[in-house]
Amino acid sequence: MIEKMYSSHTGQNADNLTDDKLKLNLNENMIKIFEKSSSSADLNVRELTIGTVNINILTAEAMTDTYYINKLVSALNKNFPVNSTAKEIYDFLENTSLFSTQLIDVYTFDELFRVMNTGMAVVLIDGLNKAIALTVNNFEFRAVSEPTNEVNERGSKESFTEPIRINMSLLRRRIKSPTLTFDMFSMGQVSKTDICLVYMTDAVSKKLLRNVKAKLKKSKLKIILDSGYLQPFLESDRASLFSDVGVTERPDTLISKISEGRIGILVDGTPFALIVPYLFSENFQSMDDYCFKPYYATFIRILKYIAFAIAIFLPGSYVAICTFHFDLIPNAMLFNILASQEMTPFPIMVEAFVIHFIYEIMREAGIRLPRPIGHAVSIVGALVIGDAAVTAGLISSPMVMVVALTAISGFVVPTVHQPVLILRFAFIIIGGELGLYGIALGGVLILVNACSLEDFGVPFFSPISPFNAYSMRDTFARASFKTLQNKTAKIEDFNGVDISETE
Amino acid sequence: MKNNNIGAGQLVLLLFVTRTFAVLTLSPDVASDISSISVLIGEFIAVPISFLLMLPVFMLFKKHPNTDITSLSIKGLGKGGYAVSIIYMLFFFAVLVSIVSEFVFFMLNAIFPDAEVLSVLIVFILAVVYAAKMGLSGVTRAACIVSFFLAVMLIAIFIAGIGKANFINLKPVSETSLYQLISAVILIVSKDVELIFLMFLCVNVKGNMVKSTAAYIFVSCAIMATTTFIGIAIFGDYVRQLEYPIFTLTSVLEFGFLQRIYAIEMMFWVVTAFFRATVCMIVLTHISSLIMPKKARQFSVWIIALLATICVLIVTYNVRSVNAPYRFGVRGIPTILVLTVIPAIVLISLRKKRGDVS
Repeated sequence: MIEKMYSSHTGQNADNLTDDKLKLNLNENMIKIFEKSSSSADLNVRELTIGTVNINILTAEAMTDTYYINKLVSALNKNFPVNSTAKEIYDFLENTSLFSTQLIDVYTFDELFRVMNTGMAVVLIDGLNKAIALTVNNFEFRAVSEPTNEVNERGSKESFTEPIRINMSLLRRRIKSPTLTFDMFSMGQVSKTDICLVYMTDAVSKKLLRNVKAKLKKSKLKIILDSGYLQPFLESDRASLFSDVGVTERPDTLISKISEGRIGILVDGTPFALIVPYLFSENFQSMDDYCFKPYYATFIRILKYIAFAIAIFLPGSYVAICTFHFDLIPNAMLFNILASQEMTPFPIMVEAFVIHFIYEIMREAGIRLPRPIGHAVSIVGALVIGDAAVTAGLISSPMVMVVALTAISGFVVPTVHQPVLILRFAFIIIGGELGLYGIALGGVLILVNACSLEDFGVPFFSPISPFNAYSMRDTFARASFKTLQNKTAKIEDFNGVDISETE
Repeated sequence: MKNNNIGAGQLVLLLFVTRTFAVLTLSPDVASDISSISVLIGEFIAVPISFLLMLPVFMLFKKHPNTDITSLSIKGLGKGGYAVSIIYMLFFFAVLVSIVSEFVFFMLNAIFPDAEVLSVLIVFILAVVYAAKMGLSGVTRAACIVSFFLAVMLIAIFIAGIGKANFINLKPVSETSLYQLISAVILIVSKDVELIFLMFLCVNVKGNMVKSTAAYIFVSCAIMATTTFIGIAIFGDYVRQLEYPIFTLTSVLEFGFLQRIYAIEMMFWVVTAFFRATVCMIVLTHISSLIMPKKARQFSVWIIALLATICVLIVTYNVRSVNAPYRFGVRGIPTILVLTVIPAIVLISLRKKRGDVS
């Protein structure tokens, strides 16, 4: 049974392992271990002798529970007479002991280091060419806390944390059905980071699952420290500002996505999970939508779409209209704008570009600054932009309004912050040079590029285009749960979806 | 183009968007001797006529679904099929040059009178090339989203315009003649290049081609007739003097505090021109892939774009040189040739070949 668990965990069969195998002689094994680890200071070795059998217990510094190690040692000393064999000791650990919930057979040095450095205790017994790893992990990690990037009013306040197994438990507690499956393996030639695919067997497409695994296999990264390292390998091949791989730090969000046939990807060491495939419309959905009344949730969703458009197009459109098409502006407003523009020395395009650039500098500084002095950024920002620059005549007051509205609108949909930021600057330049003609052309080009994105056979703009009427109950609007409960929208049921084998 | 599958509904919406380009610019046609009321009635008569003209295409694709006309012509006519491909290439190239020229004329006359031709032209052509490289699926999906906003804009123009309409401007039907009606129908059908787009795009459509065609023809009639009606009702016979009647209309309409919204309408016209030119470019690239050498195929879109740019520049600086080809085109002969005659010839040749084999 342990061999089966081991095989399923590592994907390896004990029979076809490399030459890097453990030897029968304990001393030879230890020499190899010290050689490979360069006698690293965090390698702890507990040597003991049970009868005539030498045993070494290997652990990584501050990663295991010493209480259980001591209990193990005590049990070994108590239960075995002088003439015990290595096989008997091994059988005791494998079949009788209750020191850990998971036991793994280890046959190679690579696997030994991998399991030891995840916090497991590895027991090497002289006379056996395999070791046994016990789950006695007890390392320090950040507690489950509130999400920092996906803040909700009424939804759960739990977010993922760094250890992958804690994240798995956060998901399992929400879906107790056995159809929720965790498929674990390691990636990264050096880091051997634990990666876990999460899906529901009765919802996910088998082809999608195979395609995701095939894409991940293409990664030849040596070190994987974050889910962002894997994201480019999962995105569609077409270059785009938008990403068709979702990121979330909320377990409830991930569960809701995988119940629709998606696949979640957990990466050990990061609280951000990936979701594939991901749709454009999901950037505007949040857990709060399902906690409020449908009319309010619908209103908030539409507000988010409008805010998204404002965040991208408002500065560029303002520049375009004030430069080329000022006859669009009602007369009363036009006089005010022209009067304030007369006071400023720069062309409106330069003014817009510079002031947005300064805002981005302050925003980035606000993220990186230590908290105690973070308030200084908002004070400086308010004084510099809001007051001093306008009083000095460097920028016009309508431009301050535009910057403020654009900035606030950008915060409404934080998941698309990256493309919004770049597009904002691009449209300021386009609007200043080509007017609304450039804005229209640029906007439709971005739309065509985004619409042509297709990851794992799923169009990025589904279910908006290709249109899926049934899914509209949870795209722009949010229907009542009495309607939503009738049918779960699975990703492969959308129009235009063609999940075919790519490998 | 075969791997870019689109739905039948998506195709109709794409063609609605591209057809709106004609709506916004020349409806009814200026500088023709056809009365406005004849054009309005002709819009309705053109519906069954368009359907009839498509009959050889329907019969051809019923027997040979998922194969475009150029491939079928090579199959049926042998080396003569390549001549057919060249005819279609020249036709679509002329359409592309016509679209881009009209667009450039509009931008330089109505929006940016001080701008350089090249600055408007090159930006537009580069955008079209990029979109063509994105593929038909992406372009169609984007067009479906745009179609919603376009429909809202057209409805808004109609509602705002109906208040300024003067129904006395609509002449009685008795003032028209059979000759004028026939001329109007030929004019309308000859400008409906979307029917020829349909011939090439239907290969990629998952759905019934006949139903898609019927849906498109009715949608086209609805929008053309409505805008023609509004143009005549507001401007009367003066509409025939206007180069861009709908654009002129939006410059006088008001929507609450929004005035002089022609700049916003201009954006929609840019978008529709973009989609029309892009679809034309996609079809051209596909046809050229059948006749160009393999190594040149990856550059075909750039070659076509360069040639189109040169031709548009020639047309822009020497408008009178295209009067004769334009007059020839609007007589309907090229359209009927590529829409009906060639498909009929291909159909007959394929049937003959099947008969010979059996």
